[in-house]
Amino acid sequence: MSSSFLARSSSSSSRHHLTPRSLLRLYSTNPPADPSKPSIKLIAELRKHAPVSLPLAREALAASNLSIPAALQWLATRSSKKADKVAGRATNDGLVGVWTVSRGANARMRSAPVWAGMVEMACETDFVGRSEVFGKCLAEVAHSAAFHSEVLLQKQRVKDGDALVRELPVDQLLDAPLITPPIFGLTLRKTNTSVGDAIRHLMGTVGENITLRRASAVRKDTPTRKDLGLRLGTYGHGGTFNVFPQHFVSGRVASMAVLAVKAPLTEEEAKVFGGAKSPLDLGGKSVGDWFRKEDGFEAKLEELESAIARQVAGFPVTGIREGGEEGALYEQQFIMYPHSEGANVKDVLAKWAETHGLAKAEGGASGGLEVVEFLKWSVGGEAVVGK
Amino acid sequence: MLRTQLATTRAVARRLYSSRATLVCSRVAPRQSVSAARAPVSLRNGVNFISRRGYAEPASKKFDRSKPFLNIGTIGHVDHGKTTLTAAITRVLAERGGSEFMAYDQIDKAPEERARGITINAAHIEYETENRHYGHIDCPGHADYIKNMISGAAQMDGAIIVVSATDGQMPQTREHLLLARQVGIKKLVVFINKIDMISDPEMLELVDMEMRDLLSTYNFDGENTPIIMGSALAALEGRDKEIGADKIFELTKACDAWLELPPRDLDKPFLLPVEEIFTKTGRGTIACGRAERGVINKGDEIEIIGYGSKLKTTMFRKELDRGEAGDNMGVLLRGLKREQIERGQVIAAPGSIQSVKKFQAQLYVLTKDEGGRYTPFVQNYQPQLFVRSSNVTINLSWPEGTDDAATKMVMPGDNVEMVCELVHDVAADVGTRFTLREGGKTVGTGIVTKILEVV
Ligand SMILES: Nc1nc2c(ncn2[C@@H]2O[C@H](COP(=O)(O)OP(=O)(O)OP(=O)(O)O)[C@@H](O)[C@H]2O)c(=O)[nH]1
Ligand SMILES: [Mg+2]
Repeated sequence: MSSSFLARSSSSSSRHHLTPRSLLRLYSTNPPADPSKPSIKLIAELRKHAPVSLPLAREALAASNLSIPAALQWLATRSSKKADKVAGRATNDGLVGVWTVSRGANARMRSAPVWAGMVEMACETDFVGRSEVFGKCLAEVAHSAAFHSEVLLQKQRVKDGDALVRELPVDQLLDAPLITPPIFGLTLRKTNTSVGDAIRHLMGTVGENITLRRASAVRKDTPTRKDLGLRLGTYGHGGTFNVFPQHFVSGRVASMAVLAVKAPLTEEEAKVFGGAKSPLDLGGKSVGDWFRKEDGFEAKLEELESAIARQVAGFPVTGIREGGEEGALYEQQFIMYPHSEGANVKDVLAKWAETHGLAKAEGGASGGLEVVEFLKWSVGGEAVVGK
Repeated sequence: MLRTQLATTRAVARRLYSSRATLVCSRVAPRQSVSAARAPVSLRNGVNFISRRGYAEPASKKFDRSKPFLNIGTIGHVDHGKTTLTAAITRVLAERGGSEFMAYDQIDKAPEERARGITINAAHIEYETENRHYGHIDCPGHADYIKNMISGAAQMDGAIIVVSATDGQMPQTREHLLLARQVGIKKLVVFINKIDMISDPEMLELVDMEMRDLLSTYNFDGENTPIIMGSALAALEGRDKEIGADKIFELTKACDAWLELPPRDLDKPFLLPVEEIFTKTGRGTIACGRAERGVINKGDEIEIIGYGSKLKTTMFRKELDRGEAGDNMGVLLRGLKREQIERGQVIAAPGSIQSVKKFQAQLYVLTKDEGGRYTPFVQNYQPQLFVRSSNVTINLSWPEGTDDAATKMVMPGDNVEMVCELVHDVAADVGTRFTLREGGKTVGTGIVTKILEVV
């Protein structure tokens, strides 16, 4: 802060006069006269970590020896009382978030799973929805949903048939331990925090009711089908926590799309593959080889998957092949893919498969690239599922 | 080629005219009200000079029209007290005879029905101080501010930013400041509200300092901006005079002293968007339109700008010797052929406006419910740009350095900053507002924030 700031004939308008001395104290870089008086810089810093009101930020710092971590802890303790107060209020805003653990088949591992969690967390105002703490918690909850999906789904009777993306029981997810993504590094949280605890903590911090509205997850690989690989594309529109774009997307609308890459192997070839020789010796005998054969195959595939997810999120899709000209994803002009040249999704996929040698084997079996499932949620809206 | 393109789009342009009118319909600001009195240009006998002073009926007779006029509004985070403050101002000034008291619920009306097109969900109020006359806008929600500020439906020359002392600045405070800056508001007055709920004076110092800091961050004059602390609710309820009514009065005085009057339309350089062109045998070419700003006299030198043209000529004759902002007029141009001027160009005082081929703009993309698109778009989307009487195809792209520019998508309801490249140049300035249309419907509105290429 400049010295001219201090010199200004400040609030002539203010009832409470700002004396230069009090300003100096607050701006001084020397230890403040009164050690329990937090500086405006420190208050601003704390407000970056927790979107609390000014007076509360100051109170927290004053009670914590001007230490930010301690002040956050202080706020956390206080927050549980606050959470009780706001619980039950209407939540009409919020965000959908998707955490991707694994995007699926790749050059190193043909049978890598498509593995991700998608959750919708609701809050009261867009102010909270767009805050960093909300986005971060959403990411943790989505990550936890992905990790607990197997266990949670085992308990549940299979009702979705052969669906890849499955709805998780929200109440059980709330009781499950929160699993913070390792790339977040250390957090101040105690161990044994449940997903529900984390959300309550957030409620206390931001002073709004927050609810977990729904959760879904996909975790699927194809160990027995050597000719098949699954891939996942995700998109979120308008989210604000974009620190790990490779893993986490969020927004008022978000989508996941599962694609299948099939190598042009005959069934015989696909079966034989289980033999003694290494995959590379066989030359083009597993779908993994297509990932290795061509430089940049995976990156190009990623570009296409992301475009599919964007198309699903942005356009009024109702199904993959069903839904007519308007609603069928395959019939829509593939606007979200930069190289579509006006073609529809179906034709772009076919052409992509052909260009990258997936379309036909010399022996006659045909491979290809297909969207096998998608899911789209918008805040407060109906789920759109494509199969 | 250009000509044929223009001919086919003319009908569309006409339609835009009426839709523009709905966009601005609820403005009651006298400075703008001339547009409400748009009179048809008479073509009878090819005698075209109609000079109709288009001053609208004053909205309320008791205001003294001789006082300088300023459009302002309350902005700030949700629930910080914008509407309460608006009501309080009218109450305090009503007691001094400068306003009609508007109760809170008169201002904060629920919209009766959501009209198609941009919903102007804002209350417009007028009041008068000792030496000024204000038009005041209060919007009910955050989304309304963004839409109204970009579309110009809520035009503000200055603003009162309301900050609750119980919270300090909050995300929408910041967002409104940024937006205010982008739409050309240069000065603000701060009202720190709800001080009745704060017992610790040091807290108020903090809010004060934080606000000055924030104002400077957004290129406002943080050091000298007046900050008034009070309670809008106390003033509205007529209690605690020293933090209530007195502070409100102090606030209006600060507005008078600190907020600058925009130049009056008449004081600006002359500008006439060309709407129609005629040839009068034996006399020459006549261009018609409604003067947007400035004054023109017979024999004045003028420039014809836009569509690749930069012709200089003099205004030769006009039935009246003088025309001014708000007049529908035809001007006879010396030595100019019919082919040398087109609808969409402007006639302007030489050197007063640039012809622009590329600019950056803040855009609001209408939602399906507002009559806009129902699907997203990516860059290189090419809608029609309508500005004044001109209509040009433009290409939208992301500013240089945008991440994932090729695939980044814009959904209806988004508020984004993009680069607009025009197929051919039109007259524009920073602050010029426009609409974007596609297939006969308005899909967005925007305001020019930076000129990137002139002709
Ligand atoms: N204690 C106190 N409360 C106030 C004061 N001013 C406004 N309020 C209260 O704050 C709440 C919000 O006030 P509004 O005027 O509706 O706020 P707003 O900024 O218009 O809110 P939105 O239009 O929803 O963004 C209301 O309950 C007011 O009564 C004040 O000076 N003191
Ligand atoms: Mg309000």
